[in-house]
Order: sequence, then C-alpha cells, then structure tokens
Amino acid sequence: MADVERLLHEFIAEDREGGDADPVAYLRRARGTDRAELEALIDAYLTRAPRRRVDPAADQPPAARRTVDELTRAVAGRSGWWPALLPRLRATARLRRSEVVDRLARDLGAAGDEAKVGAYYHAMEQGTLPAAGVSDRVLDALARIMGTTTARLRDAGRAIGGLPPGAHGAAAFARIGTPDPELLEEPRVAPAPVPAVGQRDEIDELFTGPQPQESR
Amino acid sequence: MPRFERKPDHELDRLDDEALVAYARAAREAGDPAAAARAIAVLVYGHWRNVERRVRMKIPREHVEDVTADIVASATHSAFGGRSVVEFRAWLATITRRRIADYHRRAKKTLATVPLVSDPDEAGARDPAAASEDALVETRDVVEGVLARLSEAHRTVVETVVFEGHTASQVAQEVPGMREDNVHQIVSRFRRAVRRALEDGDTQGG
Repeated sequence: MADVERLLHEFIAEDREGGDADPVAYLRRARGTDRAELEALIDAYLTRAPRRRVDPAADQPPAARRTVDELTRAVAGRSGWWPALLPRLRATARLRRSEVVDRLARDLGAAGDEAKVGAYYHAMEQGTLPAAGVSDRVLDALARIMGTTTARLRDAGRAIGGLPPGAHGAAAFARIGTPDPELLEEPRVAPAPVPAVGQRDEIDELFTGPQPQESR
Repeated sequence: MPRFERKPDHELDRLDDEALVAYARAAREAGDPAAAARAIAVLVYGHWRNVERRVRMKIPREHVEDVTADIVASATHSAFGGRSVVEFRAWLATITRRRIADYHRRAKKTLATVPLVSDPDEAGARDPAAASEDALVETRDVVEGVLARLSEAHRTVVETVVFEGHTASQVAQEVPGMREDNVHQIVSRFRRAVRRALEDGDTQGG
C-alpha cells in the first residue's frame, strides 16, 4: 500500500508542477491490486482536477484544436451540431470523407455527381448549409453509411436552435480566424453551393429543399 | 442584437465553466463567432489533458484522441444544447465514464478474436487480476462508491489528504475536533475499503 500512496503523491506533485504527468508511466510501476488501486485513485484525482489555465494561442494537441474548430462551427454556424457530430461519426465508422461522399452519391442515385454531392456534404461539416433544407432522403442515406439513425442526425441539425445573427455562410467564419490551417485536411471553409434560380436540379433540392432558401 | 462585450483571454481563463458557456452563447447571440471561439478554446483546452489522461488509462493508445474528442464534443454539446448540466466538470466525468464503457462494448463485439492491446506495457493493458473488460471499465466507480459510504466529515478528510495532497497534521489543524491519528485512521480505512472492493469486483464499495 505504501508504494501506491507514494506513486499517487508523486503523480499529483508532478501534475501540479505543470509536468503533465503521464498516468500510464506510473501504472507501469505497480502490479496486481496495487496497480488497480493506483489507477482508481489517479482517475479520481483527474476527475476532481480543475480546468487547467491555458493560453488559446499557445501550442495545443492537434486533436484538441480540431475539436475546437468543429465546436465553433457548430455553435456559430447554420448546420446545428453537424460540424461536431459528422466528423465524429466518420471517425467511428473509420470512413474518409471521400468514401462517405462516394457512397452518399451512389445512394442518392447521383453517381457521377460526386463533386456536387461532396460540396454539399462538406458544407454540412463546415456548418454553412442550413440544416432545415436537407431532406430526409439525404439523412437516411448518411445514417446508413455512418451507422446512426436519421432521427439523431435530424435532431443534431436542430441542436443549437435558430440561426445565429449574422451567420451568412462563410462570412460568419471568416471572422473566427482561430483554426490552424495545418489541422485541416480539407479547404478551410466552403460556403454551401448556391445554384442559380431556374437551374436547380434534384441534388440541389435534396440538400436545400424544394425552394431556394432565400425565397422562403 | 443584444449588447455584448468581449473579454480578453486572461479574463476568460478566470471564468468558471458555466460562465464560459454563457459567454460563448452570448457571443453567438451577438453575432460574434470569434469571441465564441475563444471561449470554446479556453473550455476545451482547459479540460482536454485531464480527460485524455483518464481515457489513456483505459483504452489503447491509437483510439485515445478520437474518444477524447468525442467526450469533449458531447459534453460541450450538452452544455450548449440547453440540457440541464449543473456542473460542466461533473457532466464531463459522467460522459467520460459512458464513452469508455461504450468503447469497450463495441470492442467486445468487433474485436472478439483480436487482442485489444498487443503490447502489455501499452495503455489499456491490464494485469491478470483485472483482465475482464467489465472490471476494466468499472474500477473507476470503486473510489466514488467507497467515498459515498463515508460521512461528510470523513469524506472531506479523504479528499483533502488523498486527492489534494495535504498532510494529516494540516488536516487536523483545519478540521475542528480532528486529531492527526484520526486522519491516518480514516485514510487507512478508505484505502483498505478501496482495495477490498477492487479485489471483490464490487463497484459500490461495499
């Protein structure tokens, strides 16, 4: 027991000195019940640990910066929670965005129009496509591809409430200015495609509704 | 548009979690996504390392980032989505527990024939005594279960000595009627109860 107590105190001391103590390194120094106890105590300590003081401009783990970027697009965008949810679902399903787009285009009967489907899907992840205009057919297909339900996707599209004031596609994000370009595997912000009135096809209607958003 | 006043980063850093969320919502309502982004960054970066380290003890290294991101995004979603999240940190702890359990449930189904961790020294590796996936997930509940059975005064002693690193003599001076040998006894009993619960697989600490 004494070893567990000593290791826990060492871990806490290192953590409080800003040393970013690695719990796994400490666990390796114990065996059997000692290890299980140490793990339970470190976990309880970390659960109680206060939020760390941070400088948002300083170096942060890439995954954390990516998450901030997604959450910001969700909070400030036009697509509800999709910018935070869709990348998570893709990661869980182990699918690249191009794979999702290919399958989505095929399921929508739009094989050959992957570029257009991809632009709309990208706008959903970027938070620039109004969620209300996206049809159930698109969400049904995405739900099948991502291993979730249509209801969950629809609900996520509504999650943040109405459109934030001043959210006009990419213009809203141009002012954020915080995402680090090196984080992004894709272009930074893509405004949702805006087909000219009279030139709308079935794909446009599937992603934006039967009428142009502006004329509603 | 509602009146909104931006705060510098050092002021954001001093806000508690709930105030940060309220600030980000106000920034959004005021059409100031850049200010909302700063508040979200302070919230996420401030909790990231603690969540990530909790996750790292429980699951293989290659999945830690994804699971951590999922936890932080879900907790933030709840906070912004208007659900009743009284304390963000407590909610984060709950979601962390659920997501780790979800991960192991999925792993059980999809990796039934593949060892979860190939290197026994890697994160998530278990000793034979705690080899079952259920035990792996539930050890985290043991401490809370044992603490829940203590009186408020004894719980305070344990929290202060074990998790805040104060000495028994410091606690004896701070808690009226508490002697140093009482503090040692309380902490000792707590740790014996934790070990017993771990050995018995009793997550309620009884």
